[in-house]
Amino acid sequence: MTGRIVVGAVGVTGIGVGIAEVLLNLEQTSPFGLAGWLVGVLVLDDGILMPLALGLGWLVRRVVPARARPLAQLGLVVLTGLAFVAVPFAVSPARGDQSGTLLTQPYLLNLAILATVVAAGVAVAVLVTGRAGRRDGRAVPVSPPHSG
Amino acid sequence: MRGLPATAPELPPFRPGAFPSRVRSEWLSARLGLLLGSAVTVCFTTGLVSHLHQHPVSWLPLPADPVWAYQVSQGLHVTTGLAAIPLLAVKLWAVYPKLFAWPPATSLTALAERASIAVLAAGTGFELLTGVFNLAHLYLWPFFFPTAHYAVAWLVAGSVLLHVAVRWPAIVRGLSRRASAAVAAGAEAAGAEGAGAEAAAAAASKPAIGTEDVTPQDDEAGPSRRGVLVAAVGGAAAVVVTTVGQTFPPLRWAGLLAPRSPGAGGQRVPVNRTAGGAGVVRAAQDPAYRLVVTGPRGRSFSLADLARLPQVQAELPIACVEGWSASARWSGPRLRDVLDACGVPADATVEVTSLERHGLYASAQVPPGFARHPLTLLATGLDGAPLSLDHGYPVRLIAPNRPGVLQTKWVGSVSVQ
Repeated sequence: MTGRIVVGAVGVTGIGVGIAEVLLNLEQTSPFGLAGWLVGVLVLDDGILMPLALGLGWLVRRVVPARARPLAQLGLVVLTGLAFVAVPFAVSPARGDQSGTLLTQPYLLNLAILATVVAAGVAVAVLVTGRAGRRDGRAVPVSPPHSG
Repeated sequence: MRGLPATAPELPPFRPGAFPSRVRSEWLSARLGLLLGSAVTVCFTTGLVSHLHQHPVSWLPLPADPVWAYQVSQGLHVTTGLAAIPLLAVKLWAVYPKLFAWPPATSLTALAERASIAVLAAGTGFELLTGVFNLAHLYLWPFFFPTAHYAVAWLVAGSVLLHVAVRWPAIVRGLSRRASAAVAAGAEAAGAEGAGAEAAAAAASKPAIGTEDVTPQDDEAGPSRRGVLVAAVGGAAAVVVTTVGQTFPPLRWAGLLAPRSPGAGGQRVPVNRTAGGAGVVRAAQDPAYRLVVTGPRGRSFSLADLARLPQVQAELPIACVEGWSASARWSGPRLRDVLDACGVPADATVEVTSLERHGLYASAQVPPGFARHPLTLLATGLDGAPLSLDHGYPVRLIAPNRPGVLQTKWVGSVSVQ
């Protein structure tokens, strides 16, 4: 218990340092703007992205055959992470800056290429695991539905 | 808590069975937390190193060796930050139903815990989102990015520790082998009998580990707990593989999403600030250029004077705060030879100032450990050719183990602090 209290106290101290850094550098941290961004991130996550993800999960459950579902969901998680990185790079006005060395790639095209690779990987994995399941003479589950 | 209705609002997320996935559990949350916490720890530590480079303190001098240390630490900072994006997304998905727990808190302590989780989620999301936007040079905020990023990093680190302290028993249960076995056994029982997770937990050992936020409504196939974990790790790995080429040359070929290519740019080294952008084109090419050094025997140096000093070649990386780095062969006189020629004391911190009149990084402090390092140069050449304008012609500072923003270009003067 003592250890937990110490860790918690160090944590509270860390939070205090963060707040002090904001308050001691008011001109640079713009506290109201910063608070707005922090609240905005919560709203973006809990109010927009998570409902979207749950909606996508619902769609996958209805559209994708059961045996392919786990791998399809894995592929979607991978693609989501890639999209979070690629889209800001693709839309940045800094593309093609004077230096000619920043954000030089066609990020949306590259994201599409990666999406194709991921989709192909999922399709191959579904086929391979499906065959393995049939060879073993059992129902297919790509992975045990709820083991873990 | 007083003032709240006893029953949950009649809204979809508050209804029983609103979150059908049965894989959400202490087992999953603890492991995702461990992965995310590890990434955050590396990110925070390397961020502190970068902060110390840019805001040196006398009681903790940073070493100039090894020369590649900043290249590695800042590469890790950006890479672990990017890797944390899918980890955070899956972790938030795993605990999302808790947001709709009713009543929201049963005590002030519980309310404080929820508030700290809000700080943790908002802060971590903020750090990752603004970090990516910074890589993209998308400055959509009213604050100065490094200062705000640093302050919120402390908020995140503190709230991580507070969260660990508060949730320690659940974390231990979730990570313990016995818990893993119990969850697996329970899940198998559920699968075999078509029963819900509560029955599964009953079949397993007590307490009912792995059932904390499980709602047994959906019997359709979905990913297993391990599957979700694999997806999170796979997402992180995909982001790393497609971006780390900007730091790690062997994976450059896979860098489809890398914001920089280390071999791009004039003289095959990327440039962040061009001579045109800095407004130094005319001053840097002025035939009357002199490097002015203050000190007990202060004097100025023409390019010919600098060329008469012992010339040194040094293989050193330019390592940017944005995570990319590129090694190159720099040449020119040592800074310490110039300082010695002016009688500057060996223990002096010096300030190197650019011809650039404005700009956040128009000057940089060079602590004595760096100023006296045998590989710290006032470089006039790059890879066997004279420096190009965008790389800092006529003279730039290049020192080991130092952020690129402190490797001052178009050096006009060196003064003793």
